[in-house]
Amino acid sequence: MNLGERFPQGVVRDERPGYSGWIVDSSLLPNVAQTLRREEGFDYLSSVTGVDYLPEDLFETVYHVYRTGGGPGEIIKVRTPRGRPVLPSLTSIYPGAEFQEREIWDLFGIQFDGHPDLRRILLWEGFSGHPLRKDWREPMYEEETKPFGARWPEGRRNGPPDRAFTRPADALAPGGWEADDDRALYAALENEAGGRPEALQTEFLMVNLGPQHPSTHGVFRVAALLDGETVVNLKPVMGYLHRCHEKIGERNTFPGNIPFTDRLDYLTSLSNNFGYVLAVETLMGIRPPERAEYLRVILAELTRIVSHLWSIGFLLNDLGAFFTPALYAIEERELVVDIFEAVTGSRMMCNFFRFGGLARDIDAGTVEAIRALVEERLPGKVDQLDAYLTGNEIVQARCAGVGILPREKALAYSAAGPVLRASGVPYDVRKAEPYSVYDRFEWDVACRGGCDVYDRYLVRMDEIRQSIRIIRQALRALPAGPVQTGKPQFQPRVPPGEAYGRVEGPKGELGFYVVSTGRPNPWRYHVRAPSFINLTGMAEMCRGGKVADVVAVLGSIDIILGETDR
Amino acid sequence: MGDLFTTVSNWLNGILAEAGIPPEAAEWIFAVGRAFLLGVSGLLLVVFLIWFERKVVARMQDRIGPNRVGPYGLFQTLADMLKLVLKEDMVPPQADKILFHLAPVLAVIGVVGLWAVIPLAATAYGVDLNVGVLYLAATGTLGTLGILMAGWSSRNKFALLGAFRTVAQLVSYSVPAMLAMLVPVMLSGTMSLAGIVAAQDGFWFGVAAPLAALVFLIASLAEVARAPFELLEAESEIVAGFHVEYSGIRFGMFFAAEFLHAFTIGALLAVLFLGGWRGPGAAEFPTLGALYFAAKSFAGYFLLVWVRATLPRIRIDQMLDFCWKVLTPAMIVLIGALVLVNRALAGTSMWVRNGALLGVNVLVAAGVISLLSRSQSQSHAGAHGRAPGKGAQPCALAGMGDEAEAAS
Amino acid sequence: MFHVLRIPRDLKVPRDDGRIFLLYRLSPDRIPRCGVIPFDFSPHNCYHTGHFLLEKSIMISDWGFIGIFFFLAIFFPIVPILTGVLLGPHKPGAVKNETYECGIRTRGPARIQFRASYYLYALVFLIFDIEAVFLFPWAVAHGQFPLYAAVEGVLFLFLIGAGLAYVWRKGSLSWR
Repeated sequence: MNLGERFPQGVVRDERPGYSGWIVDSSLLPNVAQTLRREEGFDYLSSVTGVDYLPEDLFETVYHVYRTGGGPGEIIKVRTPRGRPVLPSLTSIYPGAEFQEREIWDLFGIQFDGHPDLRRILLWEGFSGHPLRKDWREPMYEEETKPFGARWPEGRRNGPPDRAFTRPADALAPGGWEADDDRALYAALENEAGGRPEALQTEFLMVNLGPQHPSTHGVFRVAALLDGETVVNLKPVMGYLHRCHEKIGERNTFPGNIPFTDRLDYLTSLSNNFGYVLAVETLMGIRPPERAEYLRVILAELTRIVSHLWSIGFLLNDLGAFFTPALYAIEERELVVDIFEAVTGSRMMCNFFRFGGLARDIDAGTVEAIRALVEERLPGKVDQLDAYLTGNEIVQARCAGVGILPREKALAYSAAGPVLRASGVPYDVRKAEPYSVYDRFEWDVACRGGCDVYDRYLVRMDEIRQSIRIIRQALRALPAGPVQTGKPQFQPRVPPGEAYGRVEGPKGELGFYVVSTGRPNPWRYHVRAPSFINLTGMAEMCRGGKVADVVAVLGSIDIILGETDR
Repeated sequence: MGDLFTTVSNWLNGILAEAGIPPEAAEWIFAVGRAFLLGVSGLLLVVFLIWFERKVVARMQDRIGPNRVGPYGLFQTLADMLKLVLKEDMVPPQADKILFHLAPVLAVIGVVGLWAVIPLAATAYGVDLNVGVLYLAATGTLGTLGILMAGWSSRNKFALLGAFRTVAQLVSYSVPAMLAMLVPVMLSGTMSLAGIVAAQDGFWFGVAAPLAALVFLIASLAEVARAPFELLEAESEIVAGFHVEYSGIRFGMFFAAEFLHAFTIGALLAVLFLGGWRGPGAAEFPTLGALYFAAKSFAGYFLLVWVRATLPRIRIDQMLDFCWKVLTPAMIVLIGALVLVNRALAGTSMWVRNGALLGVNVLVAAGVISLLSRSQSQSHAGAHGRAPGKGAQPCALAGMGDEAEAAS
Repeated sequence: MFHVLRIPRDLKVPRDDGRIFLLYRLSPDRIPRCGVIPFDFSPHNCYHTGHFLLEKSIMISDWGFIGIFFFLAIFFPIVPILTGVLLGPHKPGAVKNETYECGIRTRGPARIQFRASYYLYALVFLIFDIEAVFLFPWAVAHGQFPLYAAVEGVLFLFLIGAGLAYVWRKGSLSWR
């Protein structure tokens, strides 16, 4: 579609070399978004992120929208001067922008007019500055890009740091310094709840589940307003594991980021590699050889099995099963992880994909081990888990009809992966916009219409079976040949431009938005983290449920804090 | 004589008598000694129970379990206890001090107190109360009170939620538990636990009234707050529930009380429904009876551990529904039917009577199950239908939109 | 005072009639000594061991034993707790003593006007528990009554059931 013709005044094609999409005037942004969503059927806002073009003295906010029916997406960009960055919020059109806009406000300092709850999200209220701005420097700042001179073998520091790091004397003293973000949080919680309960002059109870809580899957916090046992309103609070992954990623070299993506969702390092490598390969205009493509698919699907097994096991743990289902699932996971070790040398932080291929080839014995695993062991074990769990009365009572996220809401909140597909949207990047060699296999998108925790669990069960199906076909068709185009490079040349590489990770659509200026480091490196964005709909799923349901819903969203907080 | 307990008590009697202690004092000494022995062995049993549970759960989860401290890790619990004793004793300043200190004490008393009346063998028990069953019901409530006090006094939101759940859950489930205990009382015509065991000469009540035994087990599970009913301390929801502010050995006391209570449920199940110490040769050799009793109790406890290792937790509303809308009505119907049948067939042979009772149980159980499955298919329709077989049929990408819309 | 009885061969030892029997044995020095009656005291043994049975009014009743038991039971938890207090370190701190709320400073009081649904169950429980207690004596004795007494008891059960149905119908058993 041609947005330029539709909005002749204020929408122009992005003509920069290596770039695509439309540059939209900020005043027209809501109209353009409305048109895209309502008229053109771009019902899925995949990613929103900012880029700081310091030399041009402007911020660019980039929106990637897609049709869930499949096909290529649209990219719209909005520019705003660095001096006074204000943009209209898209939360009323795409509610899935809520957390992403908060993240942009947090890390870039771009304000969004009309956002219902514009607070910092990954950093704490009171943090000074917005770290993804190119002119922001941390207290122990060394250099703009790696490799840092100070870490060279001679150990010389090249000059003094920009700012001396001084810690307030009472920084860690009890009662001395306190982050005061909670006041705004509690106020927002209570405002949205709209007053007190009516019956018998009772009061709401404000409870924080997390960060130090056994079943928030890490240091994740849910501030919940309870009426008795019923959840009136809640807000996820995150960022306890925030390390500004993207800032570090922008200082790393391009290949240096591959192991760094391992640390996002540490259960699914190979899928993370896949997304990032796809993005950079798009920039470089290369494709890996056939054998590497097949191996990538095999490894990514094995990763999906690992992640879903883990997720199913720990969902049951959250429901209160005393580790037994989790350990049954982990037992199978161990076998897959053994294969990762054989293939990549590492069990979790695999760091195996390279631009244009893989780090190493894989030997016949390992292929045989994978074949034995997916042909003989896993199908039976998945059936066993299925037999034990799916029909269990308590599992059904706890999961069915709990954490409802209707189809429209799921789409609107940009939910991804099993969460979206359990709400009846058969949207899977592997089918919608096939990458690598996924279009060569015969498999089905697991999709169910129950919109609840139970169906999210079932979708994961189905997906394990589908992954096994894909791996079997890929093993059968695995061609011989090299696994790397050209010779391995330590410093590949990445031409200037932008690319958005997205894969269907186990948790959902995992996207990497990379901007290159032709230098060894990415200018912008953004992760569209499904664990993070799936949380946007969490309050919707939990309202009206019980406290116990919050935990079940959280387990069914299946977050990994390494990815949520980045 | 052939009976260890009688031999020992006679021997002790003899010693006391020889020492010239007047009979009143001797009786006091004897009573205190018995009480002390019962209580201490109960608490020491906990050490073994924790090891047992950890080992069993570990096996069920394909693990090894504790195996470092002592042979087969038997002393692991002792090491843990030592650690708990050496931990800092913390009392939150905002807590209600008196209740906070009293709560773990009450929790332990409420459980240990139960052992005063449980017949371990034909000749070994603390005391044979003629209202033993009522005593059980009353003493068990002390523990509930302790839990409630712990949750309330901590002045902590999680503890408070746990305390509120206690109010609803523990208190509700004591109704079906009481009604289930009514069945052995009715069948034996006595409230003395020794009498109940004695009455199970030919038939265990668990055989004549399996539904009552099942309801007793379920309701007791809830009263002990064990999985799948451990809502008061639901770790994955309210962290540790009522004892979240307790640390060190104070927490350890709750822990010990919970484990001993769980085992006590196994013991009560054995006494009320599985013939207590009865077994081949137990009438002649009471020592053997104690072994039977221990075996049955551990079988019951094993069942509890098994359930814990297997099932997820249910939610508070579902749990209370289950109590008030399933267990309690079922027990009311069952008791009415059992009384009439039992009374009508009073003169007939044991086999006829017990057969008829069993028939009544089966009928009521079948009725409950059919009603349940009907109401369930009405309430959350689809959960059963959605359960996939091996050939799950995930919808293909194309043409899914309309179907999904219809489904949602 | 003891009443020395020659033990009849067909003696049944009553356990709950408020008396306690003591055993009397003739020792070599002919001084009578007493002890508590063994649990499975059988008159048959006594003839061989030279025991006599003494009868005395009750000294420690069943409930006396319960009293002793509870008194001792208080010490079972208190001793370890006191040991813990004595042996454990004691270094309170402002942060350490804070109310636990998953690492976040708690906001607002914990004790508020809480939702009443929990208490509804407690109230319903009170009624049913008391009714259940009434059933126990009836259950013990139903075998000795004529049939109509058993039927009357069932009618009482029916009333309980009706009460339950009423409460159920009223919606008090639905969690809100």
